[in-house]
Amino acid sequence: MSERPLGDKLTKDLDPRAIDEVWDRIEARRGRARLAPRLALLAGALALVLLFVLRGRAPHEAVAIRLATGELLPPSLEAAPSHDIVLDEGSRLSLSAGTKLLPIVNTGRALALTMGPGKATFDVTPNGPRTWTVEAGLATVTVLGTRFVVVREEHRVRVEVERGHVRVAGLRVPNGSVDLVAGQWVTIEDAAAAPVRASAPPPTGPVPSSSPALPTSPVAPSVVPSVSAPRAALSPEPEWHPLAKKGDYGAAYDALGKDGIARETKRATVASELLQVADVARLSGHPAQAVAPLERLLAEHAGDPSAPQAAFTLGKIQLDALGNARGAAAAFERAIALGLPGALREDAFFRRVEAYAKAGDTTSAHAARASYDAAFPEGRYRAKVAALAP
Amino acid sequence: MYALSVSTLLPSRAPAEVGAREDTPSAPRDAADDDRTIDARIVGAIREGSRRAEEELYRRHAPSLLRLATRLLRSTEDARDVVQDTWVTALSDLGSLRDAGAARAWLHTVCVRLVHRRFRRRKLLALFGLDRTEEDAKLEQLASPELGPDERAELRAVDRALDALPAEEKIAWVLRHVEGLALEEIAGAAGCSLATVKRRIAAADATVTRLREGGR
Repeated sequence: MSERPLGDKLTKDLDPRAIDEVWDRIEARRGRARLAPRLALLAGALALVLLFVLRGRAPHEAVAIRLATGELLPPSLEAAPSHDIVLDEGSRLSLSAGTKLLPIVNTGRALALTMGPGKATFDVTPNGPRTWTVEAGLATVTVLGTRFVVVREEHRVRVEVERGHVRVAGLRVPNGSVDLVAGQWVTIEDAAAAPVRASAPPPTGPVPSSSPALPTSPVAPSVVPSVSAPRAALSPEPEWHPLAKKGDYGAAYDALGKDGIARETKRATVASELLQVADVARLSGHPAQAVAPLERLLAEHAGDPSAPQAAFTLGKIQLDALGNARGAAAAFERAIALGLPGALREDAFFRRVEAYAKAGDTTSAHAARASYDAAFPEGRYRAKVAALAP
Repeated sequence: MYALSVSTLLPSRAPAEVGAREDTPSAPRDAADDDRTIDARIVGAIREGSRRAEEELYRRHAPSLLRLATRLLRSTEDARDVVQDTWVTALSDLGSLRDAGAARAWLHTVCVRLVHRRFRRRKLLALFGLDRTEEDAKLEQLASPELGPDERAELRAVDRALDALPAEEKIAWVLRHVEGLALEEIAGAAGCSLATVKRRIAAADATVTRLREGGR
């Protein structure tokens, strides 16, 4: 008698579109949920509870930040060979060789670090209980939850924000302080530094190379306020950004206005921005407009970790929304070549067969089927693949 | 009349032997360890705020969850709803997952709990004559293409028997005999004791056998 479960007699075939469709529904629902007033009330209540709990704790030193290993912070944080410094609340610090950070305040409510010359990337866990401050000579950076880079040289400090929001303050910062959001950076120079051209760009214009000694990051944002160009103002965070972050893609699309997707695709400078623009287009019901940011991401940021998934998304749009089977096949080829994460690989191998079959390219469809069968001998789409390329 | 008995389809043990079987994980330990490591890595990335990792975790486990929910609910639309609810719940409750490597079992537990809730909802709607569930994914409809007519007929008979089972017994029976889960795994997924699982499966086995022998 057989010990096999009944499930072995049932088809293992699944419609990959069902997987995609459910995921799209999840994303849309989570976006709505984030906006739900009930959650706002809950967050408010939790904040009150947290406040109550924190107020009840004394002394604050009892909850000082520690290393993820549980050890106390050393008097000087220095570059760890081949890995980041991870703190107990999840924040990570990545220091270039020779860079030192000295913790000068470390309590339950505040962490203040003095940074010596060098480069440090701070990936601060959002919504933590502490205010983070990085003192870097010419600039003091105040942080909530964010990821940003500080480069300190003898006569300049540069702060670049990859995610979130920071405030940079200092005597030589225009108006005393500037707020930076994702994609923006600021360079502050002292009097001994080479003079900066006074013709600072407009808020959304190209970025001048004002500090040749510093990395001219492709994260080129909008503006470089400097001592010589104090009139330059930072562009405010676009209205659509917070809407997209909340998952309210429809409102984000509306906020972008006419030609907004095309404009932001042109303006974006980092892969994450392009992905966000594509998400707004795709998830607001304008999949055709998501093609341009995804193609630009693949053309200019193929080394970014998000590139394989961007190619996969592009393939799905081409095949499912635009009926461009050839374009889809090329995108799935690209996704596979770029090295998709394991969970997506089988889907991409299957969709490649489907795209070639729909394009009428039977030779390529058969080759793609052979690749699928070799890579996934027990794959869940075997029957569908066989039907597409018999 | 069908040429095969239900025992051709079902595992051979008798209802009374249910608890005596020595359960062994179906996957080799190395593969399971690899899966746990990968899950732990992905869950770690999600906790650090990676939206892409959320999708990666989804794509890893959605197929098995969708398959499980479909077999339990026998409705593709209900199954999609439950998988959707499973992920929304799981992603918001990820903080409560203490062993990140155990994400798969945890997700299945959430899914089974929501399936149970869906059965209760159906029952309530049925009381008022409002249940419009389209059962388009019964076992017979999910039969593998190479299955013969006799085996399909047996699946149809099992489908009819499952109609008569209460939700708790149906879930336990499907997890055991369709999914092939170990008793401990079923207890974990159903959120009840091992003894309860054994009792539910034994009761379901008795009903299925009685209905088959009664020719209903």
